[in-house]
Parts: sequence; C-alpha cells; structure tokens
Amino acid sequence: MASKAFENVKMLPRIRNALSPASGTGQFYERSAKSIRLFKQGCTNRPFFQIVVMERRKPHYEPVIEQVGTYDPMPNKYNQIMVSFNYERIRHWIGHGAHISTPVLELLGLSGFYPIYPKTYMKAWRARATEAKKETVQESS
Amino acid sequence: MLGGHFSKISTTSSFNLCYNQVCVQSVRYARKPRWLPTAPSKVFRVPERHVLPHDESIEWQRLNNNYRTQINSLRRYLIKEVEEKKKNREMNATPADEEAEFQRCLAINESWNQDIAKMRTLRIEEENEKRREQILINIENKVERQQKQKEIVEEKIKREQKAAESFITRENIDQAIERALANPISYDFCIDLDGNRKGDSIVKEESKIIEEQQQP
Repeated sequence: MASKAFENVKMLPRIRNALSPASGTGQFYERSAKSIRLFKQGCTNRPFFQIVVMERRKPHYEPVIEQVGTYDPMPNKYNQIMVSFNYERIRHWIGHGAHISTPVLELLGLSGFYPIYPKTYMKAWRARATEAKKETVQESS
Repeated sequence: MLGGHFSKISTTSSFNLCYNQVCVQSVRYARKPRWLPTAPSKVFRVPERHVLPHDESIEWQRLNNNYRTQINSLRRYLIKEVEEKKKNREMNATPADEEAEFQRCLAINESWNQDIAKMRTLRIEEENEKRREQILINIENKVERQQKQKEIVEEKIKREQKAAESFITRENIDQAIERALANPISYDFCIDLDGNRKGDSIVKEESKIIEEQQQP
C-alpha cells in the first residue's frame, strides 16, 4: 500500500524525520506483517496512547504507518476513560491481514467492533469475586 | 566511598589511604551480575505456580474457542470486503466514470464555495459598518478634544495679555526704578505657623539701631 504521498515522503528523509512519529511516515513493505498496537505518548506520570498501524517486526519508537485511534487511560474530570477509533481504516487494515495486539483487542471488544475479549470476562469475574469477599468480611466483622 | 574522598589527599601525604586495603569499599549494584551463581538464600526456593481452578479453566477455554471462531469469521469477512472494494475500483475505473466523479465533486465544491462566499460578504459588510461607526465616533472625539485644547490656549493667552500691562519695558523702566527706590520693601520678617507676619523687618530695625548709634 505505497501511496503517491508516501513515495514523495520516501524521497525526503530529512522531512520525514522532522515529522512526528504518528504522522504516518513509517516505511513498510506491501506484504510485510502489520500490527495494530498502542503507541505510548504523553510524559512522566501522564500516559497517553495512540493506536497505530506498524510493521510487526519494528520497535515501538519508530515512525508509524498510520494512526487509527487514541486511548487515554487516565480518567478525565467526568470520570471517563476516552478511546477513539477510526473504524473505516481499522476495517481496511484488518482486511489487509493486520494483526492486533492484546490491549487493542480488549479495547475493540469493549467498543463493540469485535466480540468481547475473553480476558475482559476473566477480569470482571475476578473483580466480582474480590468484591464479594470484601462484603463477607465486612458482614462478619 | 572512602576511595573517592581521600584520593586528593593521597597525592601529598605519605600515608596513602587509597591503597590501604582496609579502607577499600566495593560498589554494590542493584542487580546480581549474570555470571554469579544463585544466591545461597535462594537456592532451595521454589517459585509458586499459579493454577487456574478447574471450572475457571473450562470457562476460559470455552470463551477463547468462541472468540477465535468469531474473530476468524470476522477477519475473513473483512478480507473479502477489501478484495471486493479493490475489484470494484478496478472495474469502475474507466476515464468517463472518473471524469463524471470529478465533475460531481467539482459541483459540490462549487456549492460549498458559494455558501461560504455569501457568509463572507455578510461578515465583511457587518465589519465595514462597525468600522464606519467607529471612525465617526473617533472623528467626533477628535473635534471635541481640539475644541477643549483651543479653549485652554485662549484662556492662557488672555491671562498673559492681562499680565503684560504691568510688564517693565524700555519706556517705563526709569519710572519703575524710581518707584522701587522710593518704596523699599523688605521681606526679611518672621512669620508664625499660620503664616501671619510678626513685627517689622529685621533690616529696618538694624538700620534704626545704626542710626541711633550715629546720632549722638
């Protein structure tokens, strides 16, 4: 999937390096394995993730192929955890055989695009069990 | 760390603490180097193994099986979708179609541009109206300001003209001198805290004394 714009960027490595890693300047082979994964941004004590498409073999700090969403794990002032997806592009990349990392699978499951990831169920029932245990302890005391 | 601390002293003193084996202290790193064997306290340690309860493991397996099936079918569906899209794009890509598509886009763009142009003209008219009003207000203010300044200047001129009557000129300088000599005024007197004059001037009194001394 080497578009024309990408070809131009490929010609000018200096410009490509000046752009931020999430600008979609990552170089890739057409038939290489891609992965949709979290890309950590933010700073000290303030995590923030971009959901990006990258070549699967590449380390996380390299330029990405495309950004397809964001994930903010810290609750905002309304106690919400914000996630955004570009479903159209995610469909496109999955259709091209992209792999998806576990945390992104969980998010996609919760957002309703994919079936709920089994780990989410497990977390839920374990949380319920601990809650029940706490209640029994409180009642007995 | 004794070594680092005493290294400067050791160059001058005969007793070198740095090379005294008693004072050498090795640096302790946070981790054990890879080449060291297991620590004696950890040799017989058996790490605890987490085991899933039986019912949970069955449930886990069931969930995973379902999930994998669903994902596989979804994946296949999406791959097919992308392939179809690609095929359609290739099939529909005649020059006439492309031209029609381009014309359609152009028409949409034109209509958007017209809408925006309307909004823009409205906005510019409003801005011009506001500007006109502001300029009129500014002109009024300026006239007022100039009027005030004029009044102030005229008042000043009147005052000066009035004062000019008592000026000493070439014509009346002799008279002024004679008047001044005839009426000597001394400001050499005392005042109290309220500014009231107290007694006669000192100069006068002194002159009187001198006169009295001279008379006999």
